[in-house]
Amino acid sequence: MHIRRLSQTKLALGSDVTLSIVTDMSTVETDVLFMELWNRIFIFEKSFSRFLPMSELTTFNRSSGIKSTITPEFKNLLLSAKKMSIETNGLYNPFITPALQKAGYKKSAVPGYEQDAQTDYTDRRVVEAERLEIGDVWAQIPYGTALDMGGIGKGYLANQLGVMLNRHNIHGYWLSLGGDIVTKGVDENGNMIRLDIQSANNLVSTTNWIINCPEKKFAVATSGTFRRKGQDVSQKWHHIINPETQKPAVTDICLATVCADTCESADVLASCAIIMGSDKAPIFLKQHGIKSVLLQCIDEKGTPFDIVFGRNIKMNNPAGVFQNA
Amino acid sequence: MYRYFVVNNHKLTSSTLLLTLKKDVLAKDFVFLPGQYVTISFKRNGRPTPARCFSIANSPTEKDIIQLSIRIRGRYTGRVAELNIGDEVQVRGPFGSFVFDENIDKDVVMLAGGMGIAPLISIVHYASNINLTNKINLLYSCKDQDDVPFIEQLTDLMNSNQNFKTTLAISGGPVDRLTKYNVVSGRITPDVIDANINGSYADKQFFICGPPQFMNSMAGILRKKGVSASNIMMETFSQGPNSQTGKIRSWPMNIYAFGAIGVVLGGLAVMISDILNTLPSNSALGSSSLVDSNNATNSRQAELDNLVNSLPSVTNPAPLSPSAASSGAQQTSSSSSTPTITTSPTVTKTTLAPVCTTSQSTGLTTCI
Repeated sequence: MHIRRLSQTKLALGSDVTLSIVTDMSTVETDVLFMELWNRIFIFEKSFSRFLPMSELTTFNRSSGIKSTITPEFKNLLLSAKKMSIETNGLYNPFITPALQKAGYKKSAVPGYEQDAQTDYTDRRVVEAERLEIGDVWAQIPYGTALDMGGIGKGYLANQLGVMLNRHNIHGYWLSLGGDIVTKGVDENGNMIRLDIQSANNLVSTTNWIINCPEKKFAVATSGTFRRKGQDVSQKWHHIINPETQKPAVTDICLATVCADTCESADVLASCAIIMGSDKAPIFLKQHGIKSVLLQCIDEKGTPFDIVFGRNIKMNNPAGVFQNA
Repeated sequence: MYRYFVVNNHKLTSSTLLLTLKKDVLAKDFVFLPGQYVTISFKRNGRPTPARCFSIANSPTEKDIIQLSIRIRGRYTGRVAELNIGDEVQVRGPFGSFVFDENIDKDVVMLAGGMGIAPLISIVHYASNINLTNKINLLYSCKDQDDVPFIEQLTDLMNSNQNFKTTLAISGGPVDRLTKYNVVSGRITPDVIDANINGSYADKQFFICGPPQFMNSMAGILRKKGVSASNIMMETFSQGPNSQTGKIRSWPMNIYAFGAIGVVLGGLAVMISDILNTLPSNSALGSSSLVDSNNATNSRQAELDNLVNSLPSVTNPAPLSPSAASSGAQQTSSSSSTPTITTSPTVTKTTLAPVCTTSQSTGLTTCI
């Protein structure tokens, strides 16, 4: 059986999820593997989507102020969220949901699901992540608050899927979960996996930058103000909320692409970078051990500019022109 | 604090004295209500003495003076007795809610024991001086006929005020020198009170002042007669904090009471407001309750249930090209994954490369 690349794309976690594996396993084996992966993804979404009325997250939020028994996976997720909030000095806050909904993110962003019933948390309040109490088999949030595991959940799941794939005869994989990507190994030709980066200015095109992914496990996350956005009656909004103002962040970064060891870190720090803006974000990201970063920005005059550092992000065709290979 | 000077200091009886103080001419007016008390202190050997409480015995209508009747019993009162005319006395006050309200207390029964007469005689003086028509019935208990302070003043007051009458209760010894007064031998008993008020306790205001045992005894009698606590006033400053068993009547007490009530209500308002802010509003709770497991209207929930229960096998036998993956994503969602996958550049258009500068100090590359 020759080495080949198999990819599947499905709608999950509120966006498109693409799973690509490079393997020489039989078709039957890969079918079973994909099925396991999708099952894991769908169960995760079913458990931790705040857009689903019966998810564990929604029922947990509904029980705010009460100690609730939680599953081990939810506990891991909560621990990860609290840890990231502490590491970012509160720039990432899992309690931001009410502010997010007040800003306009009230419906599912997935076409066809906009009218789905979901809980309205706009009357709840935002508190610091330290108020999240986690016990052995229980957790508790203050009364009148609500959690959202959106970004960090995808990062967590991407890491978990990577762990699943490590148990199989896989030469390489890249898993893309709505902006969070985890890669490992090589492509079907034995070459380094390379990722194009979508342009913040033109969503159907890519930038001149590419990400060279090392063979060991590698995580990339993007966060931008252009995807989850809209126009309310009174104001424009996007989904990156500044915890200090509890309003959409005023920033000159349109899209942040962050490479890190884990997808949770990459996802959270990409969002933090957007909140901080191009002046402070590079130092902040370096302080948090980020390997490579591309910040697509736009200045006051509307001129786009990029900030990049790290050895994994390279300019594609430095000669100045792209040529058909 | 007010500066007063002794203008008279003489004995009323062998064991009591009447200290008359006159206000410093430059001092501001000292306004008090009949029944109130003051504290006084004075210098003894160049050092100020502690302050002690004494009831004012004269009428508030006498603007510049205050009179204090004092039983000489201990070292302090002994030194008071030694005060000479012209000696300076520091006065603080007035204090106390044991006060007479001419608008409310139309029919007053006073029960005085010994030096407890002081605030009561102030009330009688006041009522007589301004010709009030309020009925005042004084029952005055003394140890013996030789120790009845203010006996002469009482006589004058009865003569000048037809609405005032006095009954003396002499608990020990003969009463032969008090024959011109309405006098009974022994203590004030229920029968004595009954006889003086004709058994009618209704609509009367009782003022009790005297030693603690006397006041407790009198209050007990009145309670047994069915007198409401609100109609019994007792002066208890000598026993510690000022208190009265009757209704709150004086304006300072009203202010304190309303202030306390205000603080409590304010606290409750803040607490309730805080609780309401903490609680999710009806809309939040309502929207939460909209989520009904039996009536889930979330289509994604139903879809996920199906997917998890019977996952369809959707496998692309041919690897997706990067552009296919990307464009496919765009067709289904505006929120496609941003980085797309490629094995080699597939873009055929010619694009000018960005102009980049790299900072030597920070290592940051900025491209325009």
